[in-house]
Amino acid sequence: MAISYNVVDIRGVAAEPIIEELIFDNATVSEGLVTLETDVKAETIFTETTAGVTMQAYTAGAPSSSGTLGAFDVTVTPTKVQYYQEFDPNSLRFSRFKRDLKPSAWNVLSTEFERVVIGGLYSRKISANVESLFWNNALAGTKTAVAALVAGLPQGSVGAAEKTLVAATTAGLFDGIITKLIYNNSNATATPGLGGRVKVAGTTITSSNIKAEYDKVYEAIPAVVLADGGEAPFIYAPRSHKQLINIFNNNVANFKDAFSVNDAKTQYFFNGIEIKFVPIPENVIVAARKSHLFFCTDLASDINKMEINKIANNREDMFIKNNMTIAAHVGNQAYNVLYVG
Amino acid sequence: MALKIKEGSKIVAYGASNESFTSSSKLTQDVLVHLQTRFPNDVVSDAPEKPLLKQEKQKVK
Repeated sequence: MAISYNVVDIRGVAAEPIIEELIFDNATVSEGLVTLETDVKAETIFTETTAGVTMQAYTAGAPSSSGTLGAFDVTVTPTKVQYYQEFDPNSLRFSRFKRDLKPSAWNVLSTEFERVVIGGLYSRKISANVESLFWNNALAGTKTAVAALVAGLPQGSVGAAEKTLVAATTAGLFDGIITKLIYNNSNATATPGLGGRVKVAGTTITSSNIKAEYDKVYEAIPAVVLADGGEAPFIYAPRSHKQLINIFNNNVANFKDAFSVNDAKTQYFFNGIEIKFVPIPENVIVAARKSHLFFCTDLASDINKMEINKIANNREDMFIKNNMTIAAHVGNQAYNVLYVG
Repeated sequence: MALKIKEGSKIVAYGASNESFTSSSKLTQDVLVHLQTRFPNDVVSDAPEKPLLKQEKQKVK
């Protein structure tokens, strides 16, 4: 495949900066917004424990046993995925990139092209795509299973909004975090079913109602998650909420301390809980400790590793390839809040 | 009362990175009931429109 490139035959000077498409950096991995679990090759076991205690009257004789001690294992096997593209570097010969093609017709690849387009934009685009799918992805089988659930208002039923969200999620190669919160087999019997998340029914979020909707999320967080001394949870919100929060705060009539923002506008908080803006769908919010959300992979740096080479020794066209493994896993489900509008 | 998405409507409920819904989307009624709460103008009853009664026709004239 030729590179899609509308070239100008270069005669004079080319402006040094090459204008790249704008993409978000993969903060989920680079800033560790979730727990990065590496060296997960296949069938790695995650264990969750529970215990119940009951105070009982003292007896000098044989006491009766009461309380519970429990544990269960969840097996996680990441999905092996690939990005692969073929291209013919011959078209670079007529472009700005020819300036650093080494002499000889045998040399076909420009280091500038390699640096800017392949090592730069293309690999960052893969990284951004991985991050987006980690949050927002669903197996076709999971979509069918969730569509078959009967929606209801109680916590033990799937929400109509949750069903709608899964129906709107593009089918992919693995279940992302949001889908896993709604439907998974991370339970004592390893039976696929409704997730144990704390369900919050939402609506369309705007700059006018954003505080009221975040109040619903905040109220639903189990109090123990916010206990002093424990790991602080995050509120994971769509990136557009940064704008909605700023617009809300710019309204002089609004109470400013609900959403506090640092001077540099790089850190956002709601009632003291830091908000992390990630590629989740609009009208969806997650509140959870990062130690409950797992990005499972073999080696984290695989996300950025690209192989570029000739397709075959007797050919001049080339390929770019990226291999990696990925799985999303949710632990301690009963302590994670999922708001869906 | 069964619901459906109006012909020609395109519902983007969760942003551009998710699938939008149209009249050809295969959705369960509980999903349509939810979508109606957010997009009341795009989700309508699929009951056929009743023909006007004789008196109503005269009123229309």
